[in-house]
Amino acid sequence: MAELIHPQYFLKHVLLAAAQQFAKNKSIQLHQFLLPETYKKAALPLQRAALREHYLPDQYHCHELKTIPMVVKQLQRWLKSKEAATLVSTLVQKKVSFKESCLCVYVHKDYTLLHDKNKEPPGYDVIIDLTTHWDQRACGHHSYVRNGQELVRVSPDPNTLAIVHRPAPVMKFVKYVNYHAGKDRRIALEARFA
Amino acid sequence: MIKAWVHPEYRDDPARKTLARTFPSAKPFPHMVLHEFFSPVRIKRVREELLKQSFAFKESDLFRFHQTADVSTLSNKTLQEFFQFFSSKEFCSYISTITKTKVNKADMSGFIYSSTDHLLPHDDRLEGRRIAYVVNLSQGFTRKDGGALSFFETKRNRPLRIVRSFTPAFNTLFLFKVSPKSFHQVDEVLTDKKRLSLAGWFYG
Repeated sequence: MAELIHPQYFLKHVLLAAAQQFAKNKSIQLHQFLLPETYKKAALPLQRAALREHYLPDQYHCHELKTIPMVVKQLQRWLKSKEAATLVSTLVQKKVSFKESCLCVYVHKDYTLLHDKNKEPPGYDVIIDLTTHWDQRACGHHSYVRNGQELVRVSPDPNTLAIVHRPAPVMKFVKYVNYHAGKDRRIALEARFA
Repeated sequence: MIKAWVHPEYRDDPARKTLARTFPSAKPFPHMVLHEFFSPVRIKRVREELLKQSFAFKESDLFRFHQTADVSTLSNKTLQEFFQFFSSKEFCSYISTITKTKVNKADMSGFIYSSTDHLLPHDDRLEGRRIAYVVNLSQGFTRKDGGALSFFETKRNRPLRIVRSFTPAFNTLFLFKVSPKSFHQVDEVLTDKKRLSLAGWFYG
């Protein structure tokens, strides 16, 4: 699976610097995470793939793919691998293992809401961003809040891997995607480690 | 006070009886839309004075808009007069009659929804809220500008899909009954026009 990830994320000094940053901010976003070829193969077909609406209006409105391309399946397998658990454990400086994942697509008018029924178990959220183009005015970011106060914001950013520590009182939502998104899709492979 | 503020066609007994008959049976939940409801001269002044107020930016998972402080705390004379009328015993009694729901007081804030602003689906339920209202003060909105007040059809008190949408129109009063079925939203504003309103709840 190593052929998916940019080799810089196997270098000890890079991982050490990233772990220090995570310890300080409780979140980190690694840029150019996938090899450019892997990212292209994964992200480009996702922009054209057929979508299925997924909604409970008072909780969420988002989309999922009707069929998942092979390279994305590979990424999903990688998230479940020992290699991924080791990488995340190194960055958060705690032994963690994979719990669950989903591939979420957010387009104009999509959102998720803070809702008691959507409460997730605490852990470390990992977001691999497979977006190709995004106007930041469109929102669609992951917002981590405690008592209504935003602690961390993960903005759509092509080919990044974000890790956010989410203890029990912290909840997350995806801010409503407004018309500035046009026909763009925010595509996020989201996983939880604990 | 009703005489001064409310358009004559909504004031007399037959009008009240007609409204009281239609409100409970409206779908997807009890509501009414009263066009040209207020005295045009007075409501125009309310609009002008409201636009002079300070609006604070508010944003959460559910909404994005600008809002004034509670109108009862504002020092503006015209807005104070309007709020005193709106929350008066006489007007609460009028609202109780036409909605067949006993209410005795109201609160009120001013709202501006600008481009991309929105309020996502929710049912408004909170202790004491009986009737929700919106006094629409926007001008020049068309359907393609967004900003509509949209109502959801529900199944077992869960929202399913939008079945009614009302484009903002100046001098229109919306009333709807707060209940487990009253899921509604304000659609995203898709224009540079400002969606201006006074809104709140009647309590009982």
